[in-house]
Amino acid sequence: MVGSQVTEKSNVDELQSLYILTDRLYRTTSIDEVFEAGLDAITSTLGCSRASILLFDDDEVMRFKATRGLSADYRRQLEGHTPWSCGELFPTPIFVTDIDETDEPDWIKKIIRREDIRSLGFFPLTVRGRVVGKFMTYYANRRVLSGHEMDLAVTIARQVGFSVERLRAEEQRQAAEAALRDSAIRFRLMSEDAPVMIWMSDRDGSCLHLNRMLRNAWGISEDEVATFDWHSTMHPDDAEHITAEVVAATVRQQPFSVTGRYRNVDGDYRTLTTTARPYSSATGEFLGMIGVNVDITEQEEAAAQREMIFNELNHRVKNTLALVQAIAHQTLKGAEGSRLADDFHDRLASLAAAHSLLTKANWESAPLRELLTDALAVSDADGARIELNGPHVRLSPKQSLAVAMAIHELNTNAMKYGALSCDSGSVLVDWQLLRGSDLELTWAERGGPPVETPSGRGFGTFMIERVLANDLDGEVILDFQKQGLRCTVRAPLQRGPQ
Amino acid sequence: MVEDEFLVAAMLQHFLEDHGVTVIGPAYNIDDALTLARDATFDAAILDVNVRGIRIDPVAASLTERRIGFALATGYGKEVVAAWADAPLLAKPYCQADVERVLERLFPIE
Repeated sequence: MVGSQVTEKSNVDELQSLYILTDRLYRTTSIDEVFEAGLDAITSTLGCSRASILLFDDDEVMRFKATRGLSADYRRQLEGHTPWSCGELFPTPIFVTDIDETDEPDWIKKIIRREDIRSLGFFPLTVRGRVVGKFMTYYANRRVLSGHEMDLAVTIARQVGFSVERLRAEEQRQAAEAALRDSAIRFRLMSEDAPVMIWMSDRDGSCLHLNRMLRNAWGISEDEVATFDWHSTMHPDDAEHITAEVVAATVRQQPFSVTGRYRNVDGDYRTLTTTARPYSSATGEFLGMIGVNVDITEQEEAAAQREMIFNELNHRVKNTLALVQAIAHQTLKGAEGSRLADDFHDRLASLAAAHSLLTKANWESAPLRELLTDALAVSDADGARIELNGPHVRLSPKQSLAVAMAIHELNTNAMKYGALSCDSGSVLVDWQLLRGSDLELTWAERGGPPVETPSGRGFGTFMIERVLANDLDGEVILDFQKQGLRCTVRAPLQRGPQ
Repeated sequence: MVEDEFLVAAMLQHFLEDHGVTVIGPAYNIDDALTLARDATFDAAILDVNVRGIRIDPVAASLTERRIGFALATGYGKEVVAAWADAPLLAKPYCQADVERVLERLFPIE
């Protein structure tokens, strides 16, 4: 009966101890408090006055974190000693009834016996099944651990292990938040005097932060940022598309780029290109947008100015060509002259058409397909007899003019003597890029009258064989095959202004 | 007819007269062109777009008011004269065939 009462009383004490442990672990925010609560529970339920808790450090060395009743010498000498390696999966507790009966080396036995320890227990602390540390119990006498005591020890180890994990996660979260705060401060320092406009908005699109350049542009102080309504500065004609762009990007939490006019403090509208992306909290929650505005007003004006100059240049060139045309008209009056004047005009017109294409592209380059289409429009209005086949290629201005004029000559020749002089003939114009940088273009006629190699060389042949080859810096082969004229052009592709 | 370049004007006049057109003008500057546009009697006009650095727009506006058709002769691209998108374009340099096409649009055969 006495034994049973003792058991009942100790059961109540154990429950009390476990309850207190659970409660303390639940409330604590400090890892040291976790250790203290753990040691209190261990010493009060496992019949020992001496105990310790150890954790692996970053170098995977087992270190004492909290101890009861151990000498400093003992801690120093046995630190790092562990039956498990760091991260080992599903470790099992070890209980040593008598250290003298183990295979441990003598020097360890000596240290343990000198500390007046004979029996000791190793209980792993685990996180998701892996060892992160252990707690130890120490006894002066030989001792056997009951199954019940083992259950208690495992329960305590679980509780302590879980709390260590929870507090470490909390520590990491706080460190991440501190890092975010630091980076926010760094961002402010960097952005404040940057020579572009930088801003942060909250998730509703209100201003959180505007750097100095942007505040100055809108003429507001730092205190006014939070209440500033940037929407009111949009140009009425641009407000709709800017708002649509910003709202869509905010809803989808995606980066965006939008250009529009905004009124500055002087009442002038400036064209700004905004590039922005969403930013989030450490936990991934969408907080708003962070963006940069670049003032492209001058850039746009310069582009408009440049376009105006090119239009003017085109106008003058065309007027000069018209004048040349009028002079030829005056010079070549009469029946024979008028036929020459027509040929002359056609050549002039092909040159003028190439000029127009180049003007459209600011005299940087012209697309080969359009050059060909323009040059061939006269003979093939419906596009049925001349087939164009090749990739998108752009030619430099000099190459464009040469190709336009040479193709005009080939076309004229085909209409007078070749495949386009009768109903059955056709032309295939085929081009490709060799090794990515060499253009190979073939003009192949078929279905026309039998071809004879001409005895002399006219302007057309001169234009194709000499001028084209020279202006393209390549080679041109005219091959008068019986079934149809074939012209092959090979030239390195030039890009950009020459 | 409005064209500030004498030789070009002479050629255009020649082309037009070849088609039996009686030419009023040519006007070589905007003031003469405006006077003709307001007061002269004619069926259609061919206008140079840039006359000694001045754009032809007031003349075109005056003709539009009088419901007289006109074509624009220009070295500019058609986007530069987008305000008169209905007017046929006579792209410089032009030949007799180009003038014929413009006349066909100004005087459609019914």
